[in-house]
Amino acid sequence: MIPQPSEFSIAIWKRFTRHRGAIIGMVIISLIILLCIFAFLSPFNPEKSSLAEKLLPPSSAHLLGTDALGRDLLTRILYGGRISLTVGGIAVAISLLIGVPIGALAGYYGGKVDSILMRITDAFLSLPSFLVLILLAAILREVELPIFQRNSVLTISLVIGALSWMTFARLVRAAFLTLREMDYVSASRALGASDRRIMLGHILPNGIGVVIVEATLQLGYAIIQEAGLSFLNFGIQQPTPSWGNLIYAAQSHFTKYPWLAIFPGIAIFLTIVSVNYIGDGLRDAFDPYKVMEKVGEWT
Amino acid sequence: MFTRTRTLLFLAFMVILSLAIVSCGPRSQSAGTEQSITPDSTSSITIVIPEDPPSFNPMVADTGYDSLVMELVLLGMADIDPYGNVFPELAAELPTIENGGVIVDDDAGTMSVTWTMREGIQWSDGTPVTADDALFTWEAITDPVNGSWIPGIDYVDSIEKLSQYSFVVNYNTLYPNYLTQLGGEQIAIWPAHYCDLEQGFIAWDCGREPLSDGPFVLHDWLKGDHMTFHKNEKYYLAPKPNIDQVIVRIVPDDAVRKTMMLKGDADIDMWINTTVAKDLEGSDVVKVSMSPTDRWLMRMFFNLAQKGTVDSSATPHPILSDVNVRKAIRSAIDIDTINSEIYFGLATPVWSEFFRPPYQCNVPRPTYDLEAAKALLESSGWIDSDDDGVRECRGCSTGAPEGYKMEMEFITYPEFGEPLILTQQLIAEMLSDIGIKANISVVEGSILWDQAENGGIEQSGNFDMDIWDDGYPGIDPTDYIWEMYSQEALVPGFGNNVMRYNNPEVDALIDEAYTLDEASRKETFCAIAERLDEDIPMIYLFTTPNAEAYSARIEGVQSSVNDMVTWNIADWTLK
Repeated sequence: MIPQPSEFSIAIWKRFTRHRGAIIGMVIISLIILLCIFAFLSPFNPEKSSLAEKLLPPSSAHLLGTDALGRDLLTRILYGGRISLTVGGIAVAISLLIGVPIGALAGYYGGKVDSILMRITDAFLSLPSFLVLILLAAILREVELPIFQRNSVLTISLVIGALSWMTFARLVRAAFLTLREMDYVSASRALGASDRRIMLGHILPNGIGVVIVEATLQLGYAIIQEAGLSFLNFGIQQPTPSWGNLIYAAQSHFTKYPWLAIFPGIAIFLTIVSVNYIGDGLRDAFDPYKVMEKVGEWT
Repeated sequence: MFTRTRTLLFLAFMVILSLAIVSCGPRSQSAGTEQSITPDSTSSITIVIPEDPPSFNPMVADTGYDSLVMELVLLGMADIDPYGNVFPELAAELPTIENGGVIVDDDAGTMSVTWTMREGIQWSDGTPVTADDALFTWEAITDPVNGSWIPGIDYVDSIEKLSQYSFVVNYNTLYPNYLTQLGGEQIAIWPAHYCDLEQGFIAWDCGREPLSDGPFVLHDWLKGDHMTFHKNEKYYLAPKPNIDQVIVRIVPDDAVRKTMMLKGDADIDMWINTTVAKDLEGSDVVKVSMSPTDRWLMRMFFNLAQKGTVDSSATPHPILSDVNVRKAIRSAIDIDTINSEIYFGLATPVWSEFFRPPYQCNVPRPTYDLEAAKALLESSGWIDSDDDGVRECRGCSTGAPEGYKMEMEFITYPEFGEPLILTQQLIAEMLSDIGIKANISVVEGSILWDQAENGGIEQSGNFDMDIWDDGYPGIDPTDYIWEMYSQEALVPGFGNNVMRYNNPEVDALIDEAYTLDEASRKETFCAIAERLDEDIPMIYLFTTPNAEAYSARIEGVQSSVNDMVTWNIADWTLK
């Protein structure tokens, strides 16, 4: 007997909570997200200069010091976190929107559809992603469409997302290849369910675990790519802070004012490690053998 | 698992990127090439520059690094020292009216200039440098297919050889910049027997593997890494140069170049910015040479035509076509604060195109006055009626629709370094204080200044405002003024009037400046300065010092805005 959804979710959650790293990661990332959300409570404007206070070291007035224009670094890191996390989230959403349908169609129909879609996926995988990212970012930032203003969050997210969907496509395809042969799928087909209903209603929910795990990992990957692009000056433009452009701006001051690079670096570090551990915990939690073993219903 | 590993690898990459790369020292950059370019004697110096020179011909790309190496190996007819004095190189003497070298036909308004070359100067293969080389160079420049453009090219009717060592240039007008037309920081005389005319002036191989008549000879060039030059034993001022070997190393990062200088791994760092200059203050091993006059004037360019168009009359800019808006922007920028806070007081506020000798005009300095700026905008129909901090058109005179927001893109280029990036941000903030939203954008200079057909932002009119530094080479601003402000130069590809500024009165004054009458020229330039001050097609902000860092062991280094720092390298000595 297959466990009920509520039991299934509870089992996943319990399994997840046993992963100490994942829990710590969850706490840290939650804290970071909360701090970023409530960044507006900071008494400092992240974009307003205060030249009398430029390049101050960490102190009680400015916990993480100030930058070359006297702006509070903690405030800028928190506002920068909004940008970086938003870029990560949108990029993953774009990846999912492209990768999941491609993987689902390829895995469900197989044959020529599979071959064509997977060759397209292979072609994208063969691209040197970061170099193409830089190229695309350089091209798109000259685009004058209203929603793609130069170096906008959406542009950067689109560029990253458009080059990160392939893993989703492969994972979903693999899940569909396995699940389409299951009895409940055959039963649905026999009852006259449409392909769309079978894919969306029966197969996808059962293969969603791997997608969620991958999404967490891709989130971290996207944040790093945004940081990399901004570091190379192809990403979010000043004075809007992002973790990447904060490090970029710190370059020429590193020897004298190292905190300008260290604190944004730590923010990136903590976020990525947390997200990776959460992904690790989710992978363990979604492992069907471990879940069934725990629930005790595996036959 | 693979993805996680990859993510972790990226994580490691970013951490290293953030904490290590920004602080990496010169050793990491030099390790791979240490053996191949280690100076082989004590009489060797190392110059560090951020990128390879495109060639030895500055007319190809004019990056400055091409001029730097051109000065090592090639001579022009004449050059200019840091104080604006023209001195002969290949020429035996400078042609003037007084010595009969310049003959003016007042009736026809034309002139002819006779150049007499030094005898005995040789190319490094032993071939004499003669008038044939000068004529060959001119032929290559003016080649209709493979040629190039140089200032004043249209004013030359013909060049004729008079003897093996003399030739005459016939002008169809009075051309005041004749002394450096075949010299200065950009033009050299090329060897007729060595360069292939069919390859063209821009593309020929000798532009990358030149024969030398200068103080040094190119020995090897490993692209992206280094160039080595050896003393030219046939240099006409032998036993100069006093240094046996010059190594030019490519070190992209300015922090690394600075560290190399401080550690004694480099001797010259060209064009340092004020942050680096400030950091080097008080060093015993590194000195900073500043040019006696400034050239690089930081300017804020306004696009007077609608973004994406190039005709300011047919399609005026919805905001910037109103001179009162431009005046308000000028009043809102606190140049003194920018200077003291970002440039450590090393910049010099400037408010006229004609700010350096020999042409200095007494234009009153605009005042920084936020309230006056706001009042100007209010009276011009730009009002923040919805109280969101950004003004809208409410009866403005530019043709913008009612409610049109005062929001514009504001571009600069990253190569200048952090001071300009911070300047851009501060100015955007100052504009915000008067209700103008300036969206900051940083675009590489190669894209910003490229030709319109290649997507060049300025030339194609695809900008609202931008800020960068520029200034005329040498001591004669006439051609520069024409390129920057004349109506003819607003056509994409035919000049640098990217503001699409159009004032017939200024056009007429520019025409008047083409004379050899110095008193008249000064008067004309100051009249132009007054018109520009009234029309404000751009805002002049400040000049930054033209500075080079040099090792304390070298004597004779003198930075120059009229040429690259290597202009007198033959005179340098090592302590």
